[in-house]
Amino acid sequence: MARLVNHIPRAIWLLLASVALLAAACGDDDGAEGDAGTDDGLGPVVAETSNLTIHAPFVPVPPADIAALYFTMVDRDGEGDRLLGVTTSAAAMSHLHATVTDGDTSRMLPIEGGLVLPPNGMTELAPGGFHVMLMALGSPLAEGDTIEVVLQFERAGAVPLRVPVQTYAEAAGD
Amino acid sequence: MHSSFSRYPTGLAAILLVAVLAITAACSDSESDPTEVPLTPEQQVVVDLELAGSAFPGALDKPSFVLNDAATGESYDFLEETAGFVTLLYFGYTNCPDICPVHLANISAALDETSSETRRGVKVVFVGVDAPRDTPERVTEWLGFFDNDFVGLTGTEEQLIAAQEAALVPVSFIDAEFEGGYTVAHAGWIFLYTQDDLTHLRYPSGIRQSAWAHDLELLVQDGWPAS
Repeated sequence: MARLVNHIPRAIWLLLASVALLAAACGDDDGAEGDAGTDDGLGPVVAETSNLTIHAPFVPVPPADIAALYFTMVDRDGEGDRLLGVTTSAAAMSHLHATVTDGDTSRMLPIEGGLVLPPNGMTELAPGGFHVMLMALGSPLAEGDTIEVVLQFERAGAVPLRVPVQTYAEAAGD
Repeated sequence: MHSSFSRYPTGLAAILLVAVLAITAACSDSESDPTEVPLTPEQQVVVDLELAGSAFPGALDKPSFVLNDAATGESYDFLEETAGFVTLLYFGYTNCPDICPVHLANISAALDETSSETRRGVKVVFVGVDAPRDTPERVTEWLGFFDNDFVGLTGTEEQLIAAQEAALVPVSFIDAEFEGGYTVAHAGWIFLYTQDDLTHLRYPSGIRQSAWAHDLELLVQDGWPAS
């Protein structure tokens, strides 16, 4: 094979190289998207520690005594972190959950060992994905209310937040 | 160089040239790529009408099942009660904190945006698949939070399984259990039945209210296009 390669004339090499280049240029453009380093669309910073920032938290107005908490967390020191749990005076219990699609089934699975914030990355908690499930709400939550929440991180420690209760439409910007 | 070139099979250079030309052509205009799989009639409608739903490969019949109307306590024959209406059918559970409320809140907000004619032409049917916890009272109260016109259905385990099998959705099951509760795995899609009492479309969670409003308005006013 090596001998054959050595014997391929330059004209054919040029053609081979063109094919490879064009094929590469034709490939998916997906790699160019999703630069986690930019702040675009993250919303304002509502909490900041030496290693991470928290953006745009909200609780959709819950239809029952169970609610979901969403926000985005961004790593700022390149070391990453791990969200271990959440406490709030508004609910007796909270769990970290992921809604996953398993074939045509929606499943809600507990996140064991905490939710990873990757180094130099971000983790979004959003409807249909990661969320904090708040159970046994002490009193009903209405639009315009604010709840006090403490996020517990492995490295950042306790991060307190004030979280607005909003309609889905408000949160989605519809 | 000219002399060495001639020592190689003449076909090789020709094949490579053709390859370069083919890739160049594919690159320059990928939308008219002739190698793409042709769209099915349902997919073509989705593209033409810019619908947010996902097309089934072909139309499916509206299922026949009978459950309990949570608000009235009377039996509810799905096929009969929803005949001729644009119908959204969702199998969920009321202890679902994430995607069930998102779906229903978005649909409710979308219906508020549409014309009153469209609103009257749509039936939204929610089936509570978590028999022990989705009692008629609980389902009625929970649905009322979104929209008092939404129909809530409940049933025994056996009735609920029969309904899900009839509708060709995966049958729900108790998933993760924890102290004080459990989560339920359930169909993630909402099926939309058109006025022809067929389903051509289903919707994942995350469909924005503006997209719902667009699709519902169009499908109530014009119906599913005859093929």
